[in-house]
Amino acid sequence: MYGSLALGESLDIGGVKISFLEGDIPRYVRDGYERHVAGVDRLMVHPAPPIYLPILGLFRHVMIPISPAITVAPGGEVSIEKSVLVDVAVSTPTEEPQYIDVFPMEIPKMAVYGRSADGILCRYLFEGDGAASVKVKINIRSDCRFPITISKVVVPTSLFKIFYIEGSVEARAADLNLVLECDVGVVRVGKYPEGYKPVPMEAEQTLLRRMQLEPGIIKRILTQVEEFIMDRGF
Amino acid sequence: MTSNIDILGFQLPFTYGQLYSGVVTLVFFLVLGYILKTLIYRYGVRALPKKIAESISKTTFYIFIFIGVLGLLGSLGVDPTSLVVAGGIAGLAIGFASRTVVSNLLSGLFLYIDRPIKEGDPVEVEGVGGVVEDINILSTRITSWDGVFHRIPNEKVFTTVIKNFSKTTARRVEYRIGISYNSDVDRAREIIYEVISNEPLALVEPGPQVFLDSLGEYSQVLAVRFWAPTPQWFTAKTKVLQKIKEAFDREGIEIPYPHRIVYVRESASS
Repeated sequence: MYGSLALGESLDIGGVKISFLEGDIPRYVRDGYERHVAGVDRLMVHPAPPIYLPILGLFRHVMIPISPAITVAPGGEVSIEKSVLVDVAVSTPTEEPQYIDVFPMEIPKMAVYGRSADGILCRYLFEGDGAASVKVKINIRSDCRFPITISKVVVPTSLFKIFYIEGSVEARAADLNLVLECDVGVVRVGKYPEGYKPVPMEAEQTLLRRMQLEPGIIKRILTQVEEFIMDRGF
Repeated sequence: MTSNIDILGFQLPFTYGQLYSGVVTLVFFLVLGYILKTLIYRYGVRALPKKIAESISKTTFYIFIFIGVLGLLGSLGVDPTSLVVAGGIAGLAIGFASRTVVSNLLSGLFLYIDRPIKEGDPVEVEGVGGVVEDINILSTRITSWDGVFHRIPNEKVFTTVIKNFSKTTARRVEYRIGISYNSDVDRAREIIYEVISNEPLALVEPGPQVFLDSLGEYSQVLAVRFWAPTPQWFTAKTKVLQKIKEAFDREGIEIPYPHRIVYVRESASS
């Protein structure tokens, strides 16, 4: 369940037990992972943006598989809802949160969108329900004069905005609107879910330190884009 | 001003006027050269790599110093044409001697334009595998995987085969694993697929391939192929092979070592 993990409490998230233990210096514990956290009396538990696992900084996009593939006729419109698995994050309840832990519910995997030579490395979001699943509505419209079959949607991680409800395991991503233009598809963020809370994001500087990268690179990773052109197939 | 300069009774072969005009000429060319050097660097660095812009601007400055010195000597009555001829002969000699230097310099320029490698790239050049530390105007410096510093002349880098391991998004890992003829090929394939799917660094797309590749003298050889992000290729390669070995040991899939069965026929007399 997402929400607060108070000092002295434990939580079970999809079979993974996490605890915030009292002591001289309070300790956050998950399986073999342990971290001292001072100065806070609780931690926040919420879905993690899919940028941390398997390796932070290695990819900047997510791939959402659509299986079975959908063939959209010229002028056709279709809305589908997918439930994909992301990771769980534990962060400090501070104004600028710091992630204490990010752990997956399934083995985090990656895929290449396009050719292996010059394609885009993506976090592959498996379909699935349960703990750390995020529902996302994908609205597809075809502006092409011939039918197009679509088996995946690829977006930059900055367009995959996750929201959640405290006290539940309910999480949703902002809608994705995909317009098919024959050779390319244009993906934009659609409606944000109502009544949900945005996932707290770490500050750029914190991510920078984590990745041990130069400022220029982190800027390129975090650049907010309005749309993404899928030009390497569907 | 019109008589020759006299220093402690020693008559120099030029006047104060000639010296003054010579110094003015030299300073003029020095200032002009410095301004041009600054301008060339300032504008060149926007279009060219820093080191190239720096080299061009410095060379320009040196040419202007040379012209200034020629002007000074000319003003002092030294015949510049004789200097130019002498300089030309010397230049020719230096030119022959510095053929390799020029070749390296031009190769360095072409490397900057072509950019097959850049600083920080993991590469293999001229049989040296390592990380590119620096590409300067004459040579490329590589620190090999075992931490040894290598300086390779640019001419060699430009004309040789370069393997750049960071140019692509993903690289394929490939193994050939022999299992005994007593082992179940399908089960072995299942185990390998499972190991690959449990490894975060093995990509979902392009997908993995595991197939019976050949029937060897003492083993059935399975070819295993999967893709990994280029920066993590080596880690993925070593991790997955280790896990396959562990899984085979657990599941009783035998990896045979080379062996030969020898039959000894005993003769009737013995």
